[in-house]
Amino acid sequence: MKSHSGNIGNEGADHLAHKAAVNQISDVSLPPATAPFYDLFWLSVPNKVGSHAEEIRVLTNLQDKLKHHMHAHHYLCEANTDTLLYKLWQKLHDTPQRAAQPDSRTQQDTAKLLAQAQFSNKFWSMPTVTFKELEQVLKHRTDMIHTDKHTKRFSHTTVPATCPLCGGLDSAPHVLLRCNNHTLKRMHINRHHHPILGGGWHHLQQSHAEAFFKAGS
Amino acid sequence: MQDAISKLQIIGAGIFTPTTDAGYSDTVTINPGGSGPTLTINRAELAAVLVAVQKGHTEIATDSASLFQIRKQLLNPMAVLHHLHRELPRTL
Repeated sequence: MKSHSGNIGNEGADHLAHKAAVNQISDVSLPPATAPFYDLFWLSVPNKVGSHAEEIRVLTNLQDKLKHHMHAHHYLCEANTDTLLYKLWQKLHDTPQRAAQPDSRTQQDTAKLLAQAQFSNKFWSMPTVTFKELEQVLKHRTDMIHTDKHTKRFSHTTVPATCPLCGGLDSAPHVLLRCNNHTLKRMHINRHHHPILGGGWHHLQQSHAEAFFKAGS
Repeated sequence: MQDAISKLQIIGAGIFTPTTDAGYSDTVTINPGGSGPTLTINRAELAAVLVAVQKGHTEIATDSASLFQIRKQLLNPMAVLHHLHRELPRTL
């Protein structure tokens, strides 16, 4: 039937509906409606308000909001953040201004910057650095390079984690600097001299080099 | 429609059976039983159709679009699995 057509039957039904709604008295009452969204779920996260109360905050979408929440809480997975390596890594991200601020309790300067972000990452764009070398640097930075320390940690061996060349405690810093083996010592010295005497240093601009020396001093 | 006093949304439904040759005439007022998000005109219309069928009427004249939902319930029931008033067309 066409709506609002003035049909007497339709008008009569409309009048009855109006009467039932206004007077709240009806001949037939249907049972109350079931909860409409009982089987629908939506992601929410606890939103801490104040020191005690905690309420639920609904994620407004399942794209960037969910990604942002998951990244903030789970990007480190189950990694142990109470380690020296993690703290040193965090210090690398400190800005010069933040590092220069004195400690509120001791009124002394906080720890100095461990790395200059500009110079520490310059090697990524150097044409003389090979992909293999980049890979090794990244492994050293994240302590992912496989040494006897890891072999011992993952229970792949029962013997002490010692360097096979010099007998000292094996680790990534040991491989990089501390091994007393003659061949490795020569490699350390060559690696130190290469950026200055070789081609690497020339890739840094003069202004950058001046800033580097100022920062060093 | 809105309640004049409380300004809350209220709904109602009714069945009007006109006088026939047999002299039969009837009026039924219906409380659709909705609340909150289920307090809709659509529910009132579905309730009216449901009560009319339950009372044995086979020829129903209505201007309601709920007929499409009843048809959908019959032909494609999975499509109205999460419908707001799913229990009404399911009973029908």
